Amino acid sequence: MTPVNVDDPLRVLGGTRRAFVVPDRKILYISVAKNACTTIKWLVSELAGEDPRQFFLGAGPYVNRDEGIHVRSRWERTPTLNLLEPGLRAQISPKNGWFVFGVVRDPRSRLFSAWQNKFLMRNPAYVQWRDQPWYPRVPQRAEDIVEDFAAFVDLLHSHPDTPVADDAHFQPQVPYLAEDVVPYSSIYEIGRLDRLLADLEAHVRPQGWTRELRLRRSNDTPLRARADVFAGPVREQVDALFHQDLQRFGDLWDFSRLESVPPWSADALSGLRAQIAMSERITDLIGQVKAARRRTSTRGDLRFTEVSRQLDRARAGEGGVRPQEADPLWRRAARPVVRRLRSRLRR
Amino acid sequence: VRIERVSAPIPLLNGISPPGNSFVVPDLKIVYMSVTKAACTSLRWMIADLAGEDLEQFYTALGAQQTRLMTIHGTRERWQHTPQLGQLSPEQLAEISTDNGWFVFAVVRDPWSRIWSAWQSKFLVRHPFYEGYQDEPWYPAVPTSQEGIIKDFRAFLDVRPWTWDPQLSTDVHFLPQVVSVRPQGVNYSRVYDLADLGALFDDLRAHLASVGRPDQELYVPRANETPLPLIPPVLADGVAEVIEELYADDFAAFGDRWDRESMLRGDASWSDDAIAHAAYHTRANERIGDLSKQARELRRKFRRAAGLNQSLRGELDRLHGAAARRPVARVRRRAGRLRRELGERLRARRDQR
Repeated sequence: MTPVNVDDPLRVLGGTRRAFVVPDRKILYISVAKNACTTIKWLVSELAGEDPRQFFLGAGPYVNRDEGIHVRSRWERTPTLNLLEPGLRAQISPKNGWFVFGVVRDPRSRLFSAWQNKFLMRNPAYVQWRDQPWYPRVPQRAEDIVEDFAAFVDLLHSHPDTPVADDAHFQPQVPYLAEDVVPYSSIYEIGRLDRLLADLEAHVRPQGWTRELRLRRSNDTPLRARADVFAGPVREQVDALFHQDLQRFGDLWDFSRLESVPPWSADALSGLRAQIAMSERITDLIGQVKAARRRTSTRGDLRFTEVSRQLDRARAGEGGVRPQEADPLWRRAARPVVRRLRSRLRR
Repeated sequence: VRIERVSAPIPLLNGISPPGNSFVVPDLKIVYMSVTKAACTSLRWMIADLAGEDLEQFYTALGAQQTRLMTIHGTRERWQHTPQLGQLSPEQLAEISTDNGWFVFAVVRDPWSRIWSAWQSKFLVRHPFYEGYQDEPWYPAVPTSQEGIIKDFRAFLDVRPWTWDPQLSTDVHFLPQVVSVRPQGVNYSRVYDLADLGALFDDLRAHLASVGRPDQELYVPRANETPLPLIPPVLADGVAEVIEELYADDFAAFGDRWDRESMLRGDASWSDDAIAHAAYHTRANERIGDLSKQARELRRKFRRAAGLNQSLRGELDRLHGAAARRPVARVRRRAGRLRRELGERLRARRDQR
């Protein structure tokens, strides 16, 4: 572990893509997955003066345009911490007029939201797990969802070394917030984004910001977490997995609030199934775009280059070079083998 | 007494050219005339399955279809065993008749819910094919409330763009169903109603038994592209009557099977979940449209590159051919030189002698 430099504590976070610095506005946002991060990233990008068009998506595993904001390499005016001058980085602190913030969420509803969004709804980046026994079925009844979520929680609890446990969406928030090195102005509970917005507005108004700050609506999960999802051993298992979050922020959350969430409606379940069908189609199209790119670059451009080269040699041949020199037999024989090897390497 | 029929079988078509919306399954003696927004997704899958089409290959369509199920509406070339009537020979076409044991059918739907469904699936949820209309004042907003959605639907009916817009005026989703069904031009076994698909499936099973497939199961997947069902407030304030006027031809042909009063019963509102679901459709459709565009652009690029490759290869072959002929000419030239040298030497010797 890199030792903390007391003069430049943020250095230890290196080039983490979760840090969004807006130097001109003295803002640092530490993003935590599944905590309104799509909405907040769009807000930060607006404050940073990013061009929204640069977030237009290619064939990445995303299900809507808004998710283009997660492609960190597209941000041009919002550096990561390692790209800052050490002197500037050392200055980042509320004491120096910086607004440093993060957002936390009840780990129970966060885990259910992440599982729903990534697995139940067939996110294209997660269909690689579809053959696993714990991969949820397309739900016909609410009970299917409860059972399949329980199976997933059991997997995380019983097999902490499972590869899926390495995914930030399914890990505790406390390590990502890194409070030991990040001098927060405030860490907001996800239900208090109105307060975040007010504080942020109060921070940027004196800088000459005149527009109203607004949060985009981003409803990527149709089903709210309910208490019965955590019945049996599930709640205990989740609490054990996320004990760090509960120890640090537990007073912010009251499990009984989940008990007042009404049962999922038939419309919500049918909407979920339709969304799954759309995600499948998006996954298919992403595959088609990637395949078309491969085909165009390998069988199109490369062949084109190859034929052009041969053609140049043959044309030169008109001026005295014999055809064998233009295209020797060994090269012709080796060509299919090379093509196969290249194709395999590319795969 | 043995009675024999002496008259010719009733022809399938009454003097019209073979409709392009026909799906023929020759082995099973079935003709389906597809009518958009009348269970056509489910029925096309059913026909594709009966015809023995490779169902999964439809998924590879590059169009902006919303779901895998909707890919059945991709290009007709994907259908390998289900010709259109126009692709049959005159003899094959002449053989098709209900008198010869063919099952010829279509399905229609009440125009109130049909135009509602068409507007919803094409405009409200922002089908990418219709994004060219986004700047029109009657283009609906992203759905957030029941009042807003109904207001936008009524604006669409007020403007009725399918009656004057060049593209929409040929769009069968908005045209009366008689345009697709041609009730006077086609001799059907029966034209069914969407509300009575059970009768269609019963009759179809009986037909399949008659052609030797008594145990054939029907594959009828349910497509769910319209999250908001038709509710009475949509048709209130004279909207039902406006639709009756706009689709008078459908009411004239099939109106006896539809009842306005029954459309005005039932739930009076959509749930928040249903409206949120409709809003989600718009976002997913944007992404589907973007990906479809990218995929089709790459296909065009590949085709252009392949075409250029082919022409370059042609030139290469020509040059190789020319080069291959060069050694012969060289040998001839050398032989000529040798001959001339020999001739000169011989002449020189003769001169010395």
